[in-house]
Amino acid sequence: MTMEQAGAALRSGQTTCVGLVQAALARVEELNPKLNAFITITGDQARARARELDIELAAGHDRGPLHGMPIAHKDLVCTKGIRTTSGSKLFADYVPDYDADVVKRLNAAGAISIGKLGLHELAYGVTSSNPHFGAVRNPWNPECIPGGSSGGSGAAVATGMVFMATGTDTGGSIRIPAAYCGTVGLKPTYGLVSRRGVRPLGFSLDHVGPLTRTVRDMELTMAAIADMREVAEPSTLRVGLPEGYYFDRIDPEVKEAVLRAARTVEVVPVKTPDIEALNTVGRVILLAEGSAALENQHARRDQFGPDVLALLDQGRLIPATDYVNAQRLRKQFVDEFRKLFQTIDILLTPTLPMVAPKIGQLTVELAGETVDTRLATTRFVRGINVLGLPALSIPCGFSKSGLPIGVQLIGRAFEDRLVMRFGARLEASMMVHRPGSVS
Amino acid sequence: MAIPQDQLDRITPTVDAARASLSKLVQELPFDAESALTFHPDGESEQ
Repeated sequence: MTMEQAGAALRSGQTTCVGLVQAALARVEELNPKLNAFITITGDQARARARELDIELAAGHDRGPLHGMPIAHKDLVCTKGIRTTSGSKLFADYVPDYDADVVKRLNAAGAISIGKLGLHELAYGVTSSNPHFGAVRNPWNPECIPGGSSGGSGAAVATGMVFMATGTDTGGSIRIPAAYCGTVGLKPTYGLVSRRGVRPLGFSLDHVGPLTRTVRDMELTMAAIADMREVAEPSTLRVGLPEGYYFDRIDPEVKEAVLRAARTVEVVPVKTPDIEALNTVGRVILLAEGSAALENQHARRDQFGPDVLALLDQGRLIPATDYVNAQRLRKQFVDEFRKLFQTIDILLTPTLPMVAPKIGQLTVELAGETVDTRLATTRFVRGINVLGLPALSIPCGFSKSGLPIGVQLIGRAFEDRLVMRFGARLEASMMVHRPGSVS
Repeated sequence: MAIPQDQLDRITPTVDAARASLSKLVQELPFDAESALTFHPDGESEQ
């Protein structure tokens, strides 16, 4: 069931807010022991809030499409009175005394949080194999990673534990779990969704956004959490399919699924700026910003997992000159992409070059090359954070091994509505069976 | 805390490679290239 369908059932009297929350909590009880998607479950608060919202609805106070919908937050999004660990030992007992802006807006829209979701430690990684809270597992194959850093969000949405989950994306951390878990995930335009109250990792790269089961649910969520610009849709949408980089080193099954998706619409071949160089700029900026963000905690070395600590150490060795020059290169890339988007409205690419690897798998084979799993996972998504452009991942098929594949749709800055509108059309034309069928 | 050698072996070369790639890109950067770093003299918040 989608959020839109649940809303219809709620308003026709077939269910109640309490009923929706009870069903979500029952699903969590059944599946969370296997998947470890949640760090904290707030069942009592959720049930109490659902009772209030049922009374409101009966009295004619309808808050809109999110009224009564069970959701959950990535555990680096501050929630008043509820611990917010950031997946870190450092903050294992941190209880904020305020809600993040995105939480405030979702509360006001009537959404009901049922808990806090697992993530890669401090959102600094792509596996969500957390040394302090355990590995989050992929719902399609528990031996595989769900992706990260918003791994709990991907697993919870894919299995129907919640209709929507918040995530954050600094180098792909919404789109990666969306693609690996078979959900929709949007990295909105930089700054469109407030980052206030969300623990930072890369100040100029961090984006807050949702994961949902359908693009329509994404549109409903974004309408609640962002003040989006209205965009006039062109009579003919120009969709660019890039040559080269995006299809060079890629699992053949992923390539076929993405090209199949592309064939359902009219596309034009395009040459993109140098994505490998763009990724380099993103990595240098993140290394420096990540270490700066955690500088106050850096001395507490025994509190970090080894992969995150190694990145933090390395980031402190990035000279300021490298950081400044990366920001100058960034401006050039922004200008180059602006030119590209004068010729197209949407850029269609694979979200990831492969399906979800196994937990603990350090390398993958792509086109006969052995590649570091983290670098392979981020190669199509990281650069888009440098540009700040909206990027939507939607499911476009499955591998023979039964793992989901995602297609990424990138648009012009603040044209998030247009990206979602096109995403909804593509979703309908592909008829990929829904993640709700996860057993 | 000492970082396990396998982690260092994984991460250090990738960071070195990123810095080396950046260095090449910077060589082609025009002297008057602008920066994406922004400064708001009116104190406007980016959030």
